[in-house]
Amino acid sequence: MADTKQNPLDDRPGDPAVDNPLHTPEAADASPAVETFAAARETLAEAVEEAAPAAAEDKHAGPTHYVGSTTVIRGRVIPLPVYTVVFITLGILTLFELALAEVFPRGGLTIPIMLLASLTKAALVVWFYMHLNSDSRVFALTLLIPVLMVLLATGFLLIVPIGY
Amino acid sequence: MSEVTVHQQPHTPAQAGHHPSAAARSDNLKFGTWLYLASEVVIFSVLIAMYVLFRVHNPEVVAQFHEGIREWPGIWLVSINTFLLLSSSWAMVMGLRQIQLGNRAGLVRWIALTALLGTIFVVLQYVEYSELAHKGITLYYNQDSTYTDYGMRFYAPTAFHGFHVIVGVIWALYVVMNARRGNYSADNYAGVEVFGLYWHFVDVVWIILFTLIYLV
Repeated sequence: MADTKQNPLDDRPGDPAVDNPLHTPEAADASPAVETFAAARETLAEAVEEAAPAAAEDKHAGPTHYVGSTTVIRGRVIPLPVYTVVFITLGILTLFELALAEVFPRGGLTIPIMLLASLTKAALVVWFYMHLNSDSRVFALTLLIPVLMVLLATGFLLIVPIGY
Repeated sequence: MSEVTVHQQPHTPAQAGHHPSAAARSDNLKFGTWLYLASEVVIFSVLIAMYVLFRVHNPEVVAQFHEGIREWPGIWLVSINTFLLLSSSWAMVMGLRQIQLGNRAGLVRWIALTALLGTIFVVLQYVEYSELAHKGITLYYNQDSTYTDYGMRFYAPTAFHGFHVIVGVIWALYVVMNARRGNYSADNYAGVEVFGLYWHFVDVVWIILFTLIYLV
């Protein structure tokens, strides 16, 4: 049986004897440089073949969302898992919202600021706790498409005058 | 003449005689959960949109409600509830982290805490509803109350959310039971992840409702 398997590293076209008029099989076999090159090429090909299945398995192996015991923010190492850092941030943002609602009169800039803080909190939960930062973008689309559609519908209802 | 042999590759896992990998099954399960959550997004969005429209067209009624809940327990009770739900989400991901590390006992502890915090949330919401009913904020029509039209807009999203928390608590207890039976491990925790998606979604909905209904 003829071995039709193509070496992925062997991308040289055609017969070397035809491509290179100076090439002769006898000269090539005798050359130490060619022997060294051929040996190196075989070693490299074996290494690639061994590494490829391992890499493919690694892609699906083990915990996909595992987080370490520390969080790095702008080069600064915080000795807490990212989940805890996000939780503390959520707490601070909630306190900020409460302070804004209780101290300042409602209206003006307070409403958009509170809404922004709320959306930031929601985004933090979705991004870090629901793992959209590492999961497929398709998951994000399944969330975004209905949200956008409802926002459009609500915006439309808001601009329609009462009575219609 | 050279001999040529053709090897037919199986096209599907069934033809190959094996099941999809654990990672592929986990991804499928998560995608199904995200599709379910998308339907929940539509339902909650309609309820929230209904509230927002009422809020825009009747600002005086909402202002009166906000004045009314300034008295104890009012906004503070709801704020405690908000922190409880945020803490439960944190407990949920910490539980997931424990099972990823292979610590089953840690998973049981954190998810049990999640269930406990969710239960306290529901109990406090019942207390809040009782207080509001005394102030005349009811679900049914009451011509003597200024909140007649407000009641439905308020209770529909918050009570529907409360129902989701109850479902989440039951699901958390189921996860705890499964964990105690040894059904999860460092290589098999898709069930925990899927529950986490649901629970965090419930948390996200409350984050929005808290600001829209009680603060803005």
